[in-house]
Amino acid sequence: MGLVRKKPGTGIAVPHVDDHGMGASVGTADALAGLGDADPAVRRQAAHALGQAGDPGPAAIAALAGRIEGDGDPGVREAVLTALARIASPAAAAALVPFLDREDAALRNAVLESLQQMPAGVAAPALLPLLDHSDPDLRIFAVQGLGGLVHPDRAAWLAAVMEHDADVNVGLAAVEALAEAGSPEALSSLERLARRFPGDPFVAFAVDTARSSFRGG
Amino acid sequence: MADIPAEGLPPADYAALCDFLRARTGLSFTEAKRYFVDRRIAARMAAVGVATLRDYLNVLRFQASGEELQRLVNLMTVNETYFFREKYQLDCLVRSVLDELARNRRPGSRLRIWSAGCATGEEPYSIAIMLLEQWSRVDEYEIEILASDIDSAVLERAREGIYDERALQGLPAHLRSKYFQPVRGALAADGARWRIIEELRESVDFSLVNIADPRQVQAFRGIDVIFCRNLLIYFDDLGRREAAGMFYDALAPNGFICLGHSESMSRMSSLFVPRRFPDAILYQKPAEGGAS
Ligand SMILES: C[S@@+](CC[C@H](N)C(=O)[O-])C[C@H]1O[C@@H](n2cnc3c(N)ncnc32)[C@H](O)[C@@H]1O
Repeated sequence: MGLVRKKPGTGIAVPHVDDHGMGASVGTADALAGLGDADPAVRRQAAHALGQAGDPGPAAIAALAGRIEGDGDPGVREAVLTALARIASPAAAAALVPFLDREDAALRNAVLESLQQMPAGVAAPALLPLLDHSDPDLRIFAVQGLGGLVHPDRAAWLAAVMEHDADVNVGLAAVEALAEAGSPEALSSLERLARRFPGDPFVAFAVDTARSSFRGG
Repeated sequence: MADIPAEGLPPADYAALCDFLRARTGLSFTEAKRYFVDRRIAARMAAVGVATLRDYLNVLRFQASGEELQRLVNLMTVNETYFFREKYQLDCLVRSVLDELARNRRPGSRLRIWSAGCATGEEPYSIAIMLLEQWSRVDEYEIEILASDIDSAVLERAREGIYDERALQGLPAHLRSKYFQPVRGALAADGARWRIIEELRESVDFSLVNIADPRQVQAFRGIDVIFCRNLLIYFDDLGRREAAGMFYDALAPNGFICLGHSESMSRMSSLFVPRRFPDAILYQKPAEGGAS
């Protein structure tokens, strides 16, 4: 016993792959079939393969999205989310957005993260309409999502939220997102928010903190 | 001669090349890495005798042997490593992690440790030495040490197990004399070298594996501890997240991942639970269901 010594012919058997393990992936049709396999490892691999296929088409995106809640295996769910983030087409982004209103916070966060890992030019158009949603929670997720993107209009989106959103918590989420990245050009919108909710101690506090972080930085 | 202007590849070509490398290897090169990439590509294009990047990419894509892609990958990896690097993590392995894993395991059963991205072998050999020296129950279990890398050249050196002073610096003198033999002759011509003893060389199973390829990672199942240190820093966020997912598949329930000191799983994946031990923080795959 102790450390196992290798003998010829034993040891790990890395499967031979024709492209030397640095290859293009399996065909889309095979991968789609694999998404329904009983073995979670096969489903994971299928999701991964679809993610590497460029744009695998609407059927594949729908099948992937269907697995987000339909699969009991957390590894498969994660693989599906990373695959959609990798595909990063407008359709892939649109397929993720509906999950932002789910109760499951871990799912929401993973979905938001996946949107943020898409190029900002793809994620933003999917998230922006949510700023007008009637549910303030969804508007908060939109603010958080947009706030994490590297996009020239980012500060302007957040400023507009601070100036116009009727819900104080949505405005505060925007302050937070701004403070994280330090966008001093939004200082005047901060002041507007403070004036719109004069009696709210949280607003006063958050605005003060953000203000001094801009001054300091 | 290769047709690369002095200022390097044009931006569109550079982007195409980086996309290709990212998709095949997980390695992510940004504009900031141009000084590193341009020179190596120019050298390979000259060696192969192609004039344009497009031709070179075609060689990489379609060459049946895959030889050129392997050669380029070997040039593009950073293989820096040394014995007992981030030793506190090895301490954590022998003082906490293995005891915990062994608790639910009958003596005589197998424990599997995988060094993914082992470079020239210092990491898996350090693990082997630490086990033999400091884990009191080492003889009660069958311990398999697997080690892999995408770079075929470093693997060859790892199997050979010959090291210079710089690699051995962190190793106490008594361990050097116990586990290494001085190399004489031509190999030692440009400085002193030591070879790790045969017993240890035979205790590490080295293989060529690209951790960005699920078909290859599939060979690794039921692993108890994965060391993946100072590798994912070369991937982009999404690549790290994908790799975390593959490690999830490779691990046995309750298995652990040990990342480099600047890397944190919480930024890569929600699939694992952080575990704080006296010496280090590792990430654990939950026994059942997700980590949330
Ligand atoms: C900086 S070294 C780290 C070595 C050792 N783990 C340590 O911490 O000292 C990183 C290694 O990761 C390997 N690597 C990079 N991308 C890889 C991939 N996709 N699959 C497997 N190994 C990879 C490189 O070839 C290199 O040898």
